[in-house]
Amino acid sequence: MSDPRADRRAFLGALVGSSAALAGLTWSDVAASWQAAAPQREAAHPGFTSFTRAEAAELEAMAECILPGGERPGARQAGVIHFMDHWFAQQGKGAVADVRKGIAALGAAARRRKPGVRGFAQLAEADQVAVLEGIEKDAPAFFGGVRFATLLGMFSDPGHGGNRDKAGWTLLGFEDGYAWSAPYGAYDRG
Amino acid sequence: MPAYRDDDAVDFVVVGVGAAGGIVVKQLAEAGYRVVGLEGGPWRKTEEFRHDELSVQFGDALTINATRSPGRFRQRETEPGRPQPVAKYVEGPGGGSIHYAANLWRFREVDFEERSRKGAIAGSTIADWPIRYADLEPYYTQAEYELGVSGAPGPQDAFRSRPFPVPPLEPMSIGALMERATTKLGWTSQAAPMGVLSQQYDGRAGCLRCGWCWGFGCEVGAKASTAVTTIPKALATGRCEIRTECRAQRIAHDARGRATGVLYRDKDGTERFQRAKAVVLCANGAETPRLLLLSASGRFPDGLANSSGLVGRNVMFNGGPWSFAHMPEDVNAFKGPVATRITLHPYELDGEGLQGGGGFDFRMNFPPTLSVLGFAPPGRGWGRDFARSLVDHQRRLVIAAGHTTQLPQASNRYDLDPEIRDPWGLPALRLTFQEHPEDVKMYRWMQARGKQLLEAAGAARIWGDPPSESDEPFLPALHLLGTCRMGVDPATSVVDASHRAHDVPNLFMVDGSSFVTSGRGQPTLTIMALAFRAGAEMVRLARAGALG
Repeated sequence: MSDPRADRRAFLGALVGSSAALAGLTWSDVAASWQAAAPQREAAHPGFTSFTRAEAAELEAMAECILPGGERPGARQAGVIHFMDHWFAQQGKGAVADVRKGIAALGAAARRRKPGVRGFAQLAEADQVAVLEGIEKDAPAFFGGVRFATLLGMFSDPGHGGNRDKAGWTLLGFEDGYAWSAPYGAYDRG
Repeated sequence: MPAYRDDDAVDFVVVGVGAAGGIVVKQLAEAGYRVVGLEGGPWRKTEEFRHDELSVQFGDALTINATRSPGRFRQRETEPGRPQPVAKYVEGPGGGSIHYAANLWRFREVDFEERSRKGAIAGSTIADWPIRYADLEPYYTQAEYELGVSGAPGPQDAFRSRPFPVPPLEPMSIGALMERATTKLGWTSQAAPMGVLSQQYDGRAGCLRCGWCWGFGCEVGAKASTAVTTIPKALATGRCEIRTECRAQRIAHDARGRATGVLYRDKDGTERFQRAKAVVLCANGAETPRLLLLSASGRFPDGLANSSGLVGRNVMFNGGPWSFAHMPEDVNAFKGPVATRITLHPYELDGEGLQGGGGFDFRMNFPPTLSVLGFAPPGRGWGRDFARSLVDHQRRLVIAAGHTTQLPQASNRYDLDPEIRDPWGLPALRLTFQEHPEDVKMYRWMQARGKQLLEAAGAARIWGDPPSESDEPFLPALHLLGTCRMGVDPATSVVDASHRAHDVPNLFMVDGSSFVTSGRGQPTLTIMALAFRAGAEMVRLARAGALG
């Protein structure tokens, strides 16, 4: 986006309402979150407004488990947590409280699996996957909501607070541009 | 732009200034008539369109949202259904042509006379059109020249009186793969006819191949929306006023049963009434029938122009059996227009024991979040394998997008919801829709052929579930067709061959609602050609004094 304020103007008329439920969240929730993401463009991720640092660490670990980094960037490198911090705050009707409850349950499940750990973020990857499989089954709304937010934060325009340094686009091999010319791909000549 | 008074009975008031209305207003104003266009959404400047899927595609920055257009969906009349928006369209001058893919396929002769060629089909209201391809051909040509369509003729195309006005877009990798696949299967292929300028035309810039076509507005005006083609010409006459952010509420009539104008709410919510000598509805295949049903009166108890009982019935959306693949090397089809090359080889599948048919393009014109949420390879949607499956997804994904007929059925319909209301207090749209078993058979055939095409293209991994009879249509629906069908007999159609309501001599309906059968999945050029033709018919009737 070359001019975030112009985007914001174009967007304001379309903020309200939608029932296209996906993973327990709605398209309009997604839309509403965009507004909140705007101030982040000025502030370089100074901290968290919806979550404590400990909660953010748990949520970030969960996002990284959903989209782990490897040869390409994952959710942590993309700064998805900063997108989610603002985004969940815009969902209304106690969305942040629901997510915080989910994070608490995630931590409890982690401690059940490995007594003595502080939380999910301290688990080894194999244990995280096992715990998350349980969460997916037992708390599908929480899991689905965080997965959806992870994908939005990973792949939407960096202007919304996630996809830092276009990390999500690097994973997909996507480039945003306003003009392209040949060669386009490996098959241009058949 | 003129500013007509509400009580000044203009010659025509046109409701909806989109793909159809944006053409009708030009035709009428250029013929010397005084025209008011009422448009629900705002003006948008070409240079303000943005590449941002979160606000545009997920946030309905261009499209109507669930608050303004709530609805209900059910598959059968016996079901209560669920709240769910059931029609998606752009509000604002240009309408759907702002965000469409701009696949501007002509119909062929068969599309107008399938009932005579096939005979009856159980459960379907399939019928011939009251016009034939030859009647519409001059208007297809006019539409191609006024909108600027890039393309080249295909081997089985119907007759065309003039060549394409703009050369075809280069095939790029995605089109070269279509050519490779069809050659291998012994199928024909051809340049995709696109409302995207391959080079400068008529004072408009050529396409920059940015790739943000489907679902977005074009920031250089290279995509052929009516907002950058016909609407400016309508305004240039000085006789056409387009009043934006005005929502039509009902059509009024006098004691003789003639339309007198349109009751609407302006941007401040004030109720106003525009008087007119004739009324033209171009509000799309969902809102046009809804407006007629909302205009029920003592004289027209079942809705205006609805003596046939067919207003809102026979709705069709076209079928879209898609298959997916990753290629071993980069295709990068996120660059460039939605399609560059198509095959119409399966246009008529009667020889396969199937009804209807269609065509394919190869595409991947979806921005990153949508392509992951909608088209990721199968398997668990999180974890290391998931992340690995997304490596270069945007570069290597190819979709074999099938576009097909869909049979008309009287039970498939839009009507008024008994409970849900829109923000203006009017009953919302309710959609009842169930696929016809013959269509599902055909979708399955097409989807399997899509996979064969991808295999022939050399795909590394192919996926996609076959369509099933229990599938719901894509909601909120696009391609809104058939709900005020055109015909000769007032008992079995809503408008005549001039798009004039059988029941109301100075009322016209011109948009996807006029379709009798669905065509092969790309209806918009036909909607545009019908609009040029309907405009000419209105002028002819007005000059003959037949509208007074």
